[in-house]
Amino acid sequence: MMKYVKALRHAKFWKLGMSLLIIILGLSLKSFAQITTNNALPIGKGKAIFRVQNKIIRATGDPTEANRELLLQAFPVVGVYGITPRLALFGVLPVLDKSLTLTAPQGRITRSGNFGLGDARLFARYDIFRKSSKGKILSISPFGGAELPTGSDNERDNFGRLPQPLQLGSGSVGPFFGAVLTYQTLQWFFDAATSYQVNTKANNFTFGNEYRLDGVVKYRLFPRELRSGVPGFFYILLESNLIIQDKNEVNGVSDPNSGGTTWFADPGLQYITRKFVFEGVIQLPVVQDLNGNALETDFITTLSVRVNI
Amino acid sequence: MTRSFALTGLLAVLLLMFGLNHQAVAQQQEIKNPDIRVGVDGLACPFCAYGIEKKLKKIDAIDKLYVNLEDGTVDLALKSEMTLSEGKIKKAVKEAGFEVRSIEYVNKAAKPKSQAK
Repeated sequence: MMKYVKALRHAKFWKLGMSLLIIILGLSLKSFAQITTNNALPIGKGKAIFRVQNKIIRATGDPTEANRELLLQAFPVVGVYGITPRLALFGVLPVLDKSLTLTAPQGRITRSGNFGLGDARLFARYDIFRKSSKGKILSISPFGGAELPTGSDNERDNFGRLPQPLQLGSGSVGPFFGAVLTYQTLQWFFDAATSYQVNTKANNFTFGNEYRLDGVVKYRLFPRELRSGVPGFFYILLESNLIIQDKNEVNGVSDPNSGGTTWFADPGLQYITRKFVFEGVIQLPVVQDLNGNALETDFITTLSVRVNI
Repeated sequence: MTRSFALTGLLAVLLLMFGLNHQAVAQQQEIKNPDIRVGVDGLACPFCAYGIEKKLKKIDAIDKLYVNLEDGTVDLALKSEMTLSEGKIKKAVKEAGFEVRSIEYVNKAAKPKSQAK
């Protein structure tokens, strides 16, 4: 086994592979729980909403000999509770499953850790402005919170300790803040959210700070004309996610092969009833301007169910 | 990956079952002769409608209610001989995250005497 590890450590493409892996994972994992519609979930006093999601991220097209294939699956559970009509508490607890397949000196290998809890996110949102009229509502709501180190950050596989981005947790606290603007009518829904996350150091590794600009436009396809009562709404939607991430730091040194800008366009569908929401989107990269050499994301799929409690 | 799909599917099913059992998801039934018609601002989707239903159902005096998204109204049928004040309606609507636009006592007897002019 030690022979293998030694061989791996001295393989040039292995080092390159790990650097590139750090970049793509660094971008992807930090965006798991930060979905535009989480920030904008409507909630009243004493009301609760739960949401379960399944997200799959695939990244391939490695130009190096390592021919890496990255597959990540996240399963975030989101809970929202209304403290007052304007103040809501949000919690996001993801379960993660990550694997990286690559060509090493001994052949094609797959590195993966345990299937388990990742870093939780806790935040609060307050509606500082709300204007409503018949069938319409406009609100502006700042939010803030932190990503907490609830995920294991010392996962190992047969080849030794997994690199930091393959760990379930970061081991660090990541405070973040932002604001969301929401405008909804019976026919249309718009929201735009901006946020900034400061990532702190753990295990001699610091993920780059992250700025996000997320937006969504939804249009009610069915029913074409509203009838009496509360019919289910079927929406077609387009989300957009702009993510700008600073370079990571490894042992206090900035990693030139990390950070960059990614912009996703996400077509999707949503069906809303009084009690449930079923939704699905696919995030397709429009722009990926990453520093150095990095794997680019092929797609991210998200399926989600929400329930009103 | 199989275990992730299995867990996701299992939890989604559990959540759906929990949601269905937590509180009856009975379809609304239109009220032919409502006692009170409340105009509510901000009602813009079915998910929002459930929030206001839940709040209003906690008021003892209310027997049945019917949300109409198109008109942005909630019709209330009160229990026999019961009355309901504007204050209680406004409080429930506000706590649900909405604003009262109007309150019309279709059945004048539903208005508390202390409120009657």
